[in-house]
Amino acid sequence: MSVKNGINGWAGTILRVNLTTGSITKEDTLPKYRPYIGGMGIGYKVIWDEVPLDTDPLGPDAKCVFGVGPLTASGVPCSGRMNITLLSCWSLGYSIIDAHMGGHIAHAFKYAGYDAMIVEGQSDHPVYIKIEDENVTIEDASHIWGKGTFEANATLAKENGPEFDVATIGPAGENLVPMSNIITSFGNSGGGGIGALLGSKKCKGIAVRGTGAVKIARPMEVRLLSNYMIKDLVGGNNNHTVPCHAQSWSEYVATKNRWQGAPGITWDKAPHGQIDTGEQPSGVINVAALRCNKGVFDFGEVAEKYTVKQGGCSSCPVRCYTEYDMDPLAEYDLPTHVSNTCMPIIKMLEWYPNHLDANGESVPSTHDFADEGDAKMILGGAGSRAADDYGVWCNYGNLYEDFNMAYTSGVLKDVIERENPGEWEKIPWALMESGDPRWVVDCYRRIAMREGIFSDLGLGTYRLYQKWGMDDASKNVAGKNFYDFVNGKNFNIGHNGFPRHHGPENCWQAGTLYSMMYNRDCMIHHLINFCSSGAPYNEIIKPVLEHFFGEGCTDPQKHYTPINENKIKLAKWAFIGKQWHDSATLCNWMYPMTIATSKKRQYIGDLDLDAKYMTAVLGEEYTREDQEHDSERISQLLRVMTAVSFKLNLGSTNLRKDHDRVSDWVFDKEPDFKPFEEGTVKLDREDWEKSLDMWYEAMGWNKETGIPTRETLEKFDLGDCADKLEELGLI
Amino acid sequence: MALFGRRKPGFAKEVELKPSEMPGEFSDALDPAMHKAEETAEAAAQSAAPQEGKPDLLDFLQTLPEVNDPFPPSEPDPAPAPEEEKKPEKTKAQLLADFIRERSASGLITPVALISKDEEEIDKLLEEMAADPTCADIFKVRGQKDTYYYCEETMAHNYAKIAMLTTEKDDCRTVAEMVRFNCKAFPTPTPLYYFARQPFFLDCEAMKAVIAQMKASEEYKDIRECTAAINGEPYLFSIDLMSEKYARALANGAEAQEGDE
Amino acid sequence: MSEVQDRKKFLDKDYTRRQFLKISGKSLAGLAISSSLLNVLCVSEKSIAEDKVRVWAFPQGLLVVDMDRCVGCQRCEINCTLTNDGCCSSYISRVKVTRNLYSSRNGQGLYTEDNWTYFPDTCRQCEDPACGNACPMQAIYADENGIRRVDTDKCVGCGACVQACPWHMPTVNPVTHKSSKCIMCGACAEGCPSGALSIVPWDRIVSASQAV
Repeated sequence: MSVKNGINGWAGTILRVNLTTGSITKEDTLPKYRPYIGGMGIGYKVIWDEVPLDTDPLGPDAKCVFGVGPLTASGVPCSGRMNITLLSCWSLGYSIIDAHMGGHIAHAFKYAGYDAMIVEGQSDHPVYIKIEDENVTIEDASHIWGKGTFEANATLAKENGPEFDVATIGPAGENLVPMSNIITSFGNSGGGGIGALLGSKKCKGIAVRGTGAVKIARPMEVRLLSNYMIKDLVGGNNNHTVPCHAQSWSEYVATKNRWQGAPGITWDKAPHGQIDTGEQPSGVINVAALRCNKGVFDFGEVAEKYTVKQGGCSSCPVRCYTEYDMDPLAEYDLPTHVSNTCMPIIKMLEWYPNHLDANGESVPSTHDFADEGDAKMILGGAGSRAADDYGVWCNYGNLYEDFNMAYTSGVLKDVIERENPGEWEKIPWALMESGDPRWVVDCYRRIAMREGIFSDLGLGTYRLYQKWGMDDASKNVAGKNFYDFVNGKNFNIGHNGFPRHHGPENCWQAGTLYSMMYNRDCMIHHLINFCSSGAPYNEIIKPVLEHFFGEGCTDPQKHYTPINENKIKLAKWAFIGKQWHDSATLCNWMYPMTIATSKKRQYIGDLDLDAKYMTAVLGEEYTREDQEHDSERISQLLRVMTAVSFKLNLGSTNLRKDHDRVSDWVFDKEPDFKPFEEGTVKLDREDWEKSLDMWYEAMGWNKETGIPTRETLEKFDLGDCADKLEELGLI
Repeated sequence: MALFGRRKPGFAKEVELKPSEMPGEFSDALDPAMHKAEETAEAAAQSAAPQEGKPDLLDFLQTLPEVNDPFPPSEPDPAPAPEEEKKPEKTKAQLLADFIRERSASGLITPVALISKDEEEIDKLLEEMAADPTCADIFKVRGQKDTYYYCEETMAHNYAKIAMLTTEKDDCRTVAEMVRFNCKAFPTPTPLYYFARQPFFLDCEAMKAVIAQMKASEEYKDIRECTAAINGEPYLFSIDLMSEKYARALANGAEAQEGDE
Repeated sequence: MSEVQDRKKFLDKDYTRRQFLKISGKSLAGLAISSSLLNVLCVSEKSIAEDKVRVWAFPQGLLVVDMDRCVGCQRCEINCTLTNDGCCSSYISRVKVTRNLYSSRNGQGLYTEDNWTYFPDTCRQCEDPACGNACPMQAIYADENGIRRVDTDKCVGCGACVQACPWHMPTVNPVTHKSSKCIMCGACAEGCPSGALSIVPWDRIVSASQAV
């Protein structure tokens, strides 16, 4: 462990587990991976060095890399994050992606003495990897294979002992469903198809116990910085820095945001008496966990009725997982203890589109349960628990959006009846039409067990659309290209098979640019956090952001302006910053500390904070410039690997054309408006091409192809990457 | 009356007063809205008397045998009585500032009407306070009916303004001022449910009445309604500060929870 | 009247602390607590009645542990080890929450049926400490402030204190091979974001004791 090794920050050891041979070996993290920081950086370097990018993502030569970084479990708030790097089995190009897992396991892993674990090969029988400090073994998992993640996790925890944290895949992963994940804690998941990759290795999961420690060069400084961050900077979930109910210390009140705690907002099911969340002034640590109350944000004050407490990840004061005990679910013989913070709990109404009644009228499928307007919550509780138990990943909501669109447009019925006559009638539509929570449970079961054509939804958008002809208006009964056509929701950001995740809908050209840079949804919250923070744009957001990035770097909501250099600067900061979070590791939903809660600071955050933490942990100066340089290195590697994948798997030599293509709706939506008019988020095509030109220039990429130049790569000591690109005729 | 559930170490001096003990107009402001807050916040902690049959903790402690205190003597109180006598006596204006500070720390603004009840030369006193550098943290906000004082250290200026509006119970003015402020500062239209939250506590019926009154008044002719297309949620905005097209688009965006996942 | 006299005694902080020392770590179930004290401790009557709140008299104030407020962030362990060990760890922390978080020996925690029950265990600061009594090297002593500490010069890391403590609160550090236990520094409570651990200063207890 690191204290033994005398290394500050890093644990110092990378584990390599070969499930074919059973061999378990260890290697030093440093100095090799120092330029890649940790987490995602280590993962990308390992895959680059060891896995050809045309490897079958679910084949015996595929690998995944579980990784944490020097800030994980170093006392830094919101550092309970584990990155898992793998090749995508479901998005265009089958290129490099990451899954990310919260909960507590990243800390357990680091305390056990590891920065990363490379999993390779394939077992011939179900196993799990047990890590107890320096003792790492491959254990039989036959007794939990086939079980849902809740039962599997409970079994592993019980068998191994109270201080073991665990994570398992569900039946979806076991059945190689691309839309699959790994589940830990309660409702924390790593997605991206990691379930299928581990399933292909017959690896049910991991159990970890760590009695070690992370060595910190200046521990009191870390504690002081943490206190300063929690007091003066951080707000609620997604770093929303203004409360949504008037609090006497706060100048502002948000109309709608994720800081719902206030006098009168309560945890009604706290076991020994309702807990009132009260005021949570800036400058006070002991109330930070009472701010978020995610349930109230997601469902309204009806959520208080079933709120027991708020949970989340290691080291985080924000607690964005409302932990419920939802009584109405018992009437359907469903578990009442449910918890999730995102899509799986808030979007379940998408599984219940309006249906046609006996008269051919379109009628709602949902109804209230115990209280008016509680359907979203109760169905959410049922759906999230089922999704997590079956180990199904939703591709940031695309799974249910695709179902909803396919059902509503008639494509679902058409395909099922054509491909598998008789299946449609066997699907329990009555459950959907009556708003029964068991409908959504059944949907996840079908997908996880690959039952029928319905379960093609588990292929993920890209492969689903190919199979069902949804990517070509001439090939489906709706006559639409589901990537491009304008509808009320417009989830797909491009033709790559993943949705927008705070792209053009909130974050102007900047959000759209970085949304296109990955091989899955970008998950970047740098911009959306301040956009939705509740702080007033004119009085706080604009001055603070322009203080950091110059005039014109931001736009107000629904009133965008043409691209400029400062917007590009902002976009690049956010893009490379995401690589930083996934390598350090830090929560992508909380960092960076851009806007502060503190009026004394004039609400100006601290963008140097991450570097200050690194300096305190490592005991050597680590500046923001260092951070940005290292982050950009990993970003360049991402782009190189994307280019190589696209060449090997698709024969493409042009990422601008084949990877960075944005869906038409981005430019065509809201036909009553012109681009840049007040009230619309639509972009302008010409302005977008200009944005790409400026973006590629800022990133040091070829303007025509969007591929990094040798000159750029050499700057980051990635000359070997340039050699490979040259070999493939890409530069 | 303390803000329930509020935790702000060192600021709140907890004094329990029944509503009937609160002075004049202020007690009106408490009913019924503040009573609603009373009901919800820490209900269990508000029981007035020990449960039947159970001995009181403090009495019980004193019946137990004495124990040795292994810890060193506590630090003396920061402002012990003997030392205070040595300081020069506070002026009336400074004592008034202290009173305002105490109330402010509990989330209450102080109307002039309250402090002028027993004070004939109130204007002079207030002038004295304004001129005193030790009272530089005392600010005021003017309403239609009175002027209200608060301490900047423990109360935000905008909150004082909201407290003034809700104290004066002019619902139209309150709604209009907040709608205009939100249009200007954020910019955003304001959903009607914003006013259901504390400290406004204006339910659907109350808002209907407010909107009807505003429509009939020249003073509020800039306040308009719009609806979020996605779910019909009603919003208000000021046509002087925001176009209807923009208001509708922002309302729809907020209700669609775009970017809020 | 004697009752008034007795309450007035609680104006003295040291007197107040001596009274609360009598019930450090003990159950408060069966006792009635005034609303002002309940308020200042941030606990409910029900939590007292159901024995879910414990208090300990620390030099600086009353440590209150309220199970219902624990949100499982583990920052108590982080702050404890940053402050006292110069590193970050869960295992050697002197306040322990991780062992209750996943699947505790009581069958509670995130991976059990009783998913939402998890809370920190704190040192009981026993007057007659089993840990100290069991130590063959007499390495656990009370310092000049009355706080029981481990003399690391004497400690041989045998683990007798760990076994003897009914709650297994001390831990032998696997790297230094020395035992460590809670020394009432208060870092855990200072950094607790939910108030599950809080140290209420004696002057606030004194004020609350005066209210009827």
